[in-house]
Amino acid sequence: MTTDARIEAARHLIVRLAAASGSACARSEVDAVMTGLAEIATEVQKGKETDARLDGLAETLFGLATLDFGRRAKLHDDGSVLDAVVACVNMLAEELISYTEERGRIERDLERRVGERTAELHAAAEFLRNIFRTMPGALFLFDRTGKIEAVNEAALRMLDFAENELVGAPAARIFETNEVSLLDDIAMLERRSDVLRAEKTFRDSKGGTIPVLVSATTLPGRGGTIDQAGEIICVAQDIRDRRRLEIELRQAQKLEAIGRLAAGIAHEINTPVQFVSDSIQFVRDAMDDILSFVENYRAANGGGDDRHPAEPGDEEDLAYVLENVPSALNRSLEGLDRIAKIVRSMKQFAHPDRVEMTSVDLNEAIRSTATIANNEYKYVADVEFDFGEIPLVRCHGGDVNQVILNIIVNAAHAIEDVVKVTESRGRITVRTWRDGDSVVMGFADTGGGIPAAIRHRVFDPFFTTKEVGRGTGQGLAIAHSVVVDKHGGDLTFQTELGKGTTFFVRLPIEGKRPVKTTSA
Amino acid sequence: MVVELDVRSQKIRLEEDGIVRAKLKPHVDVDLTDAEEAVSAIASLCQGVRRPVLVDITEVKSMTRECRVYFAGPETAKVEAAAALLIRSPLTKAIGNFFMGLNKPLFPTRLFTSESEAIGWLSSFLT
Repeated sequence: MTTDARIEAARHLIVRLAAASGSACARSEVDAVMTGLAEIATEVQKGKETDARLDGLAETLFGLATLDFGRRAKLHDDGSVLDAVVACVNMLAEELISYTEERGRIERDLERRVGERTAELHAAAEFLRNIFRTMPGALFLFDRTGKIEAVNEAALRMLDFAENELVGAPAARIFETNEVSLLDDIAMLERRSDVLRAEKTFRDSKGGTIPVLVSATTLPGRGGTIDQAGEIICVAQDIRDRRRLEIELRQAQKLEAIGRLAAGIAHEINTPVQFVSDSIQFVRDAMDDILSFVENYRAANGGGDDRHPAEPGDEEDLAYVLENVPSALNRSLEGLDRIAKIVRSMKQFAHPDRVEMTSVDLNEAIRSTATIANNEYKYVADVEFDFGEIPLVRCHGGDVNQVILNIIVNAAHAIEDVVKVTESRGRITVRTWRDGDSVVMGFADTGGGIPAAIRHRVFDPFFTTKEVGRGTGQGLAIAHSVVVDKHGGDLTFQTELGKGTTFFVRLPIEGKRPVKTTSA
Repeated sequence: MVVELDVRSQKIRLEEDGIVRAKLKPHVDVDLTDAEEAVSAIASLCQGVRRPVLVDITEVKSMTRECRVYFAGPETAKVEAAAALLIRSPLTKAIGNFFMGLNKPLFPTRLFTSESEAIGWLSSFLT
């Protein structure tokens, strides 16, 4: 290859390489430029043997190839192609210096930003750790196999465990038996963002049980993909205080109901007290007559006088007394029995509930509660019981009594509104029957029915159509809460204007199912 | 009236056809100061109107990188609507190619070896 040919080839290469170096910063392209420069330099070096002018150019090119961009070739200022090549090489050297400086600046800037971001990430991680550590709610992190990965201090305090006793342990260590299913429930969540909420029971280090409200969801997988599910994060709130307050509130509501019915109950008790009192009075008078008769009889037989053993008419009086005293005593016993029944019903109604469900005879519960409410309906309606053969139902008896009372009182009020117009007595029919694994109580009244416009609101709290002082609008709301939320049952009704309404209370025989979840 | 300014690296003249002629002086190594002086001179001639410029670099010896960057940059774009670089030797062609390929001017720029063709192209940028 001649010198001119080498120079021309070099010129083409340099222009191409310069364009590549100026338009992109990829390392591979820079390497290619350097390799190309070395090849050109070798070519030019060969030409030096025949053309001394190439000497400076070759050195500059070798400098570029070895990342020494400070050298410049000398222009001969003769208008030759060689001068053009020299100018190109010199300009390329300038561009490479600029490029190197820019790249250095970018790298320094990148390092600075990486440092800043790393510090921010450290700060964010520390921030999250602090939240995790200090948040008042107990927080648990489970892996997908149900093993506890992490817990916070509130969780340790709640369960009285040391951290190393929980981390790495299976979920069963803290969940009451049969309640680990939470993790299975979470696995079935349709979307990752769903939150599962359920009341569960934890067991602490000493074996004590702690009712908790659990909110749980899944974290995205560590890979960051939606499909790859990560850990399960679970926040548990100790609801012992809430449970206690709920019990107190329910008790207060029951006492409030007793208070509202007090006048009627007093009247119910007063009536038998009256005829017991009358009967006792009669017996006492009779006893006076009998004693007088006995004294007369003794005097006549042992006193030696000639008085007739009985005054005229004593025989008739004695016969009357002997005939009526037993029935007076029976009436007294009957009256006392009625009083005892009312008092027993009140005691049963007002007795504080236990935390656990107990087995309850719902037929007896209805009969007893109807006794308390007797004064609410007895002037306007008759109550008929049509009890089926039903098993004992696991429930909170006091709460169910409250439901029964609220529905019966509502029925009585509905009938009373109709009786004001028709002046004919109404009827409340209470039926019970078994339906599969539930027991159903039906309360049918002959009231006016519920207008269509308000049917969707009857279970709303504080919704009432009654005048002030006759109802607060809480009765059916409480009933709904007790039946549906607390027992996992159903409270429904059928109504027809002008005919009446039937409420159906359906309760699971075995009590509320162990898991009930809602997703957010 | 034709007005001509003479700065260190070139002579700059606004012709009656509305096109600015910038003739770089022979054997000058043009640096950033020269570029700033030249653009300032063009601005004073054009008095706020962006005009096409014919730049004759046929006898230039070299241009520093800072100078090329300035000539291709926003300060120059404020006063030049387009630039036609008149070249002749392989050296000036190389400088022109570097200017176009690497510095990428912010306004239309082309290389010409014929002045008349360059003027013809620049005329299309007269407003």
